[in-house]
Amino acid sequence: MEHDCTTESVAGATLVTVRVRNEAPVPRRVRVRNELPGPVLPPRREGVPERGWDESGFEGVLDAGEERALGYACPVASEDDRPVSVASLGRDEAERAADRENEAIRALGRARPPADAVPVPGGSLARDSLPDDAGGAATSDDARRGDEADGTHVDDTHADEDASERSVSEEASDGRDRGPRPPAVASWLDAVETRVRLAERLTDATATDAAAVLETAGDVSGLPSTVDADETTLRTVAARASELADRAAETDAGPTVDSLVAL
Amino acid sequence: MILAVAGGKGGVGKSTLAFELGAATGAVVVDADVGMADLPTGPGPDLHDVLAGRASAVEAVREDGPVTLLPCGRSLAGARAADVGRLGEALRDVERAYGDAVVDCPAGMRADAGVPLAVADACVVVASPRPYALADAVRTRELARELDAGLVAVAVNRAVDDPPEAVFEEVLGAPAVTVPADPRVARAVETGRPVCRVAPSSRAGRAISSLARAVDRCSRA
Repeated sequence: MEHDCTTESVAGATLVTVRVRNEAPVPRRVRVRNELPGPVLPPRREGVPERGWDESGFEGVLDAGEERALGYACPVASEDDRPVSVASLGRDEAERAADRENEAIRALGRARPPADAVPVPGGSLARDSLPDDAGGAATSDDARRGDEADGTHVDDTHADEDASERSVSEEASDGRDRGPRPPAVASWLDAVETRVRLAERLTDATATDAAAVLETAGDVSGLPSTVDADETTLRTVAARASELADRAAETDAGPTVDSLVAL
Repeated sequence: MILAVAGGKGGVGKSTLAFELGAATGAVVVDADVGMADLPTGPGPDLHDVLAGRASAVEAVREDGPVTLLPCGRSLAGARAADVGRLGEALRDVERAYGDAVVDCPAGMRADAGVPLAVADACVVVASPRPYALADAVRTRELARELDAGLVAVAVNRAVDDPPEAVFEEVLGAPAVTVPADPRVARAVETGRPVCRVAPSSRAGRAISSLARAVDRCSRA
């Protein structure tokens, strides 16, 4: 069994692509085992892994001379140049009896109410139409994809943030190193940044640009006042932050703490 | 044995016949209509809890009613949290504990209708004696064939005149049993009085018994 393999690191995960060739003139069963230090995230349909995939990798029958491309993700960043091991399990004529239940789910599709339709206690389905959460688009995407066994998942974002807007925000966040930030602050800053970027795009915009923004962002009537309020808040926070940073710089608790610990 | 009571169209009487078949054969009736359950329920764990992994299938079975029943919840949130991938294991658990299970399948062709057929050893297709219902019965029959659930019989439900049994038998390839329209059958679930017990000699009661015998023959075969 011949194989070659490529990996790609994306956002802390490794995407593994394996091409397996059965060069023998007979059908053979192959086992592709993940060697990365993390779980296998196999390709799924309707939430059910595709046929042949399990926790440790893939197993299936390749016809004589067949080449098959396989791919999975592993949620670890790895530079390992041998992410999989491929073993031939010998001659085998046919796929083993398929798992009919999973086959039925894959083929027919789950019939469950969409997340948006499920009322949540104390939650509201209607949200402010201004995009206020940069990471939110991915969340709602996940929910649409049919999240696993997570019935309480609350789809808390608007669906009308589309890919183009997302890619803009991704470019910006990838381009700059902003140092460590607490999660709450980070998400607030991201939200503000999304609004500011929108306002920048609308500043002295041509009709075409404005129309493009309107298409992706929906209702922007509240944007100017929100951005004004953002400016005030940001300046207040900035003043308070630099004041706190100055105070932090002047402290020197080290010697006292050391002597306390030594007690 | 796990018997699926299926039929593509809604409202043809799948739940009623599943209830009657449970009464006639002593099997546990499982209301697998995860989205739109209609067999009686009550306090305690139900199929939604089982499919969400919060309860075992056997502890959700109610033995105190006229028919031993595994009911299903009715909330949207419950339906969303239910993973139909767990249904097969739940049905096999019930079968191990109680011997036989009759599964009331939902209408339609999605996985919640397909998985019971995939798990079941055999199925009864319920059809209404109208031309448009035949097409749905044929589609369900095809699905059952693909998922390897043998067709025990076609129940032509709520017949007023003599329906063309021969047509159903020829098209679906299984014996047809005509269940005449009877208001007592329609109310059986609600009143908790299965016709095959309270009126065994009525035409509807006899039809249900003959359906139950066909199922029985199949489970012994």
